[in-house]
Amino acid sequence: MSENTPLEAEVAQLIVDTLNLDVTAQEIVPDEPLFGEGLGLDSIDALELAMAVSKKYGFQLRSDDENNARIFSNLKALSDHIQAHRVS
Amino acid sequence: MSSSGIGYEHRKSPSHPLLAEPDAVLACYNGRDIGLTEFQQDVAQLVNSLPASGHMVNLCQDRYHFLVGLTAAMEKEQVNLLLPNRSPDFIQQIQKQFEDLYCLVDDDFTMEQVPLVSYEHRTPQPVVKKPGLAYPPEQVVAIAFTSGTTGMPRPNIKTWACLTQVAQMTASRFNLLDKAKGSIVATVPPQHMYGLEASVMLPLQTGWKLHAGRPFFPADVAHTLANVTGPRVLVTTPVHIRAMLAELDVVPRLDLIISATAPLSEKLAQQAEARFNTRVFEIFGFTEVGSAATRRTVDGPVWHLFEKIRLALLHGDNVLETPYIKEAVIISDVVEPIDASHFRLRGRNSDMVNIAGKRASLGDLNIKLNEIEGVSDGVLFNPDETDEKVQRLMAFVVAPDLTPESISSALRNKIDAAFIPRPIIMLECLPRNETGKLPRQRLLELVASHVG
Repeated sequence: MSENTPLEAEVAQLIVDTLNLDVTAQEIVPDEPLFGEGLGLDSIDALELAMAVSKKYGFQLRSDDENNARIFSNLKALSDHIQAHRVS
Repeated sequence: MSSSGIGYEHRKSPSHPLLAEPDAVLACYNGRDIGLTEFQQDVAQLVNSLPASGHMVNLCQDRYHFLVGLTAAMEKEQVNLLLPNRSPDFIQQIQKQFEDLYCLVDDDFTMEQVPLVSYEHRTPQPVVKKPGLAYPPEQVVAIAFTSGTTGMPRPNIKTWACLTQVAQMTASRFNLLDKAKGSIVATVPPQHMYGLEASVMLPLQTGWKLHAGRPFFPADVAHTLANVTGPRVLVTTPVHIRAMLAELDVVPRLDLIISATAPLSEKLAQQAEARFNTRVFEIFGFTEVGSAATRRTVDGPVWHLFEKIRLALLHGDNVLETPYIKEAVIISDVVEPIDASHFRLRGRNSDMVNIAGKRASLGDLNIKLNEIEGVSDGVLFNPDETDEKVQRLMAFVVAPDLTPESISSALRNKIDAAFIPRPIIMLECLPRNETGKLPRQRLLELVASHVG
């Protein structure tokens, strides 16, 4: 199991806390799918997460494409995106 | 042979809003306007690609593609099957009743043993017969499926009369016919009854522009609104309104927010009206009857039924009578009638689950849980809806050889993701009584002992 970077660990904790998940932050593997299989999150979770990200990191998540919410496929992708866009 | 087409058009709808001006704009698609002529060409081309089948499952994600598919199916007198989700299990189940079904797709959805037609593969051909904008009132346009308590999906027939009358009553209630016409943007899928009525039929019947996208994150919604011509109507749900309030300080001038699928609190509505300088209305409806009543949320708890719908008491049940559905429709929410046109909502019946606006029968979900191989007993618990974070179902399961993850995984193929329980608590046995029932009191005790 690869080690999370500090930001990945922090984002993993945000996911667990925001969504009241039964797993620990350490159990979220950076390249495991967040949505559908893997962690099994859905679009409701994506919205909750967006609110939490906005509050903590000061920017708003956007989709790539008008029709498909390009929901970040895994923890690494989400953390990288936050790293690139964070304001706080 | 269908009586739709140019002849029918002239007989029935000389004053259809889309015929009022040459090449009226129908939709905003990929950032450009689509006029009636182009729409009719798209429909004609798609008609040429459709198989000879009675039933289309329209899975188009793009709202304009969905509309073209819907219209093409109507042209061929095919019925649109509206499924609550695109799970292969569910489609297979429906296929047992409708063996000739095929799926219209505009993404990479695939499934074995079901014919697929891709929207992109419309056959370019000169337009021979221009699709009309009106169809015979009794033509069955769609069948919407709901989960019944017994585990079998229940069909609800939607005729052209039904869909157009609801759209017209909605338009009239929200004053969309008098004023200058703008754009209708929606966050909901067109396959859901609410989406079909408010984001597809409503623009089609009024001449307002149908926005083809489906913005998701609040920032997407703001961006989309900024890029459509006003006035602007947003068709959305409480979950999205809450998210928008959490993230957006401002949106472009928004003339009306319509919310449905789950109750919206007066507090959220007030905040939304103040923050976005708009009015927030709710539609009350359910799949069996469609949209039925409205209220301006901040005005209080009284709902006002649409003009042609009446509330009545039939054999002890509150029912809705409409001119476009033969039988009276039982209301499964608990309502308190005020008169034949007004009521208050008192809550939901105990079998109904509503998670972020998606509805299912608790009985049906319990059946699906217990069908999983390895589950010897299981029960779902439905917490009360709140304004705050979306609450999921909880599950208590007896399955010595399974883990919560394997149960979730098994459920993912059978039910919408929204209903997958969280958490799933494994037990040695459920506290059933001597007759095998699980009284609510014992279930509540179980829940209390597991909640932190």
